[in-house]
Amino acid sequence: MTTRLRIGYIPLVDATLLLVADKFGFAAEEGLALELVPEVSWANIRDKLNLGIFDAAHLLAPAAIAASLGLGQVRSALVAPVALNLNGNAITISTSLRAEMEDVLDGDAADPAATAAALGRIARGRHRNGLPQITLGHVFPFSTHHYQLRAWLRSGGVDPDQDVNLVVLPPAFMAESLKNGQLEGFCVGAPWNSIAVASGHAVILHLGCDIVPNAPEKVLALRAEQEARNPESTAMLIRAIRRSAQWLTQPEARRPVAAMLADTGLFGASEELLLAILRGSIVTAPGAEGRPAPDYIRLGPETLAPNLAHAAWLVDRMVEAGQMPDAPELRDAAMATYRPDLFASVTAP
Amino acid sequence: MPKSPRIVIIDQSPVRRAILAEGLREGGYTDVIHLEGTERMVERIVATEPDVIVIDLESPSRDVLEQMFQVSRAVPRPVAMFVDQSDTAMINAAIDAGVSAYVVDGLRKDRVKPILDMCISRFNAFSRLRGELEQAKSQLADRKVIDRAKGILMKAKGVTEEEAYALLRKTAMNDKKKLAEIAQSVVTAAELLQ
Repeated sequence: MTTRLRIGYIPLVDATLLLVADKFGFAAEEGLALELVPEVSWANIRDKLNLGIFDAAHLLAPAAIAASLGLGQVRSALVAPVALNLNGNAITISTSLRAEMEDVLDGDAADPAATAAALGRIARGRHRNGLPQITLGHVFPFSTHHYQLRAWLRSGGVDPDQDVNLVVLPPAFMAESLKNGQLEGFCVGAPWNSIAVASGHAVILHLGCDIVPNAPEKVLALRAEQEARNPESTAMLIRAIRRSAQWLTQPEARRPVAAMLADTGLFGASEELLLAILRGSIVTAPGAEGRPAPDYIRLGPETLAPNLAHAAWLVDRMVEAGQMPDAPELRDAAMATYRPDLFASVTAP
Repeated sequence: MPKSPRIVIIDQSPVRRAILAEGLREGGYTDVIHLEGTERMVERIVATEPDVIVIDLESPSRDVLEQMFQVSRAVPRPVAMFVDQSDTAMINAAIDAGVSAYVVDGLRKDRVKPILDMCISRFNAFSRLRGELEQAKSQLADRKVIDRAKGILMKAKGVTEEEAYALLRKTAMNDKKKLAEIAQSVVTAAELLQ
């Protein structure tokens, strides 16, 4: 008998394992029929998962935790039995801000603390001259992107709440917003940084993994009560994702996967650009050669087990950003979202 | 009578937006504004000082609104999800209809509910309208292909229009297929044999 699961996702490179499980037969071999539904906002994914319209979802790890705590929304206990990836984000700025930074940079341009300090000098200069603040974009209040931007700014002594203006914008609008000056920089996931660089108006300043090594990013999220009622379908899904990740470690699997992603028509990127990301070769400036960055986005089988240290790190970031009070019972509820035990029970030898 | 709450509509579909605005005005809500585009969304929303924000679920700007949940200097009046934890039936109906709403803190719940009921029913009415339109379009296309198939059969077999139609219908019933599908295969076959 085939088990049907409807899964919501945002078209991003870190949804790859779900798409591979569906399109390359790994889900079917486990007895699963997946219906992958592309969505336009994380809020939609969260609400449709909460209401049972989706059985599972590709979700920002901190958004899953926020849902379990009921932060800014209806409370709905979620569980994350799989980490779909680590890393994958980058901080991209306009070529004009990059040029301004060049003039005031004190230190190595590859050092995030040095570039953040340079940004601070620019921000103070603008403030003195009565010019508008620097506006930087990210994708959702509860996102690693938001926390990476904050971490980067703080490393250079910039106050993310006072010295710059942080705004949420859909990733598909980021490149255009840099071009028209609405934004001067942003932190988004693959492939949107590479798309912005390819447009010729942007440079990737730092990869996410240069700021936070092995950062938690997207998880597979399910409603806790639904998972408890159907442990077998969760197990099938975990196995299908794991086999997809194992298969994708073969270099020759990457071309067909890049072609499959491009064929969906949802990624706004060419097959070649997606292939370069899967291969870990990242073009950081218009016309430049690809920079080898094997950890830019990690989709390997070794990343799949949810790591409680990652959940704890996210909770600290949420507290630091003023999104939740620092209370032990909230911390416990947040940590309970991450379920390495579910992953281990399925994959134990 | 209390002042009509200010309602901001963010909807990419101009037709649905008009249907919604009309419904709200008929319901006595006179202060309805709609916002277009995606630039500086939060700033523009804050500038309009809304009490209720209604947004269609196909809009990627929904995540932009989520930022307004966060108490920040950008948002003088905190914004909340439109219902409290207990009212899942209301959320269900709204998401099902394809709409969500955000309410500025301080607006009484009994004043919000009729606004949302109106939005949900108008969104559903729009879906029905769109469904009917699509059905009408496909019916028209079906009729055209059936007429062509009838013509082909009349000419090839020397039968009347009624006989041609009966032949198509009998084949469709025997093959357990739709009449339009059989008609399409007759048209395709005729094109191949030309």
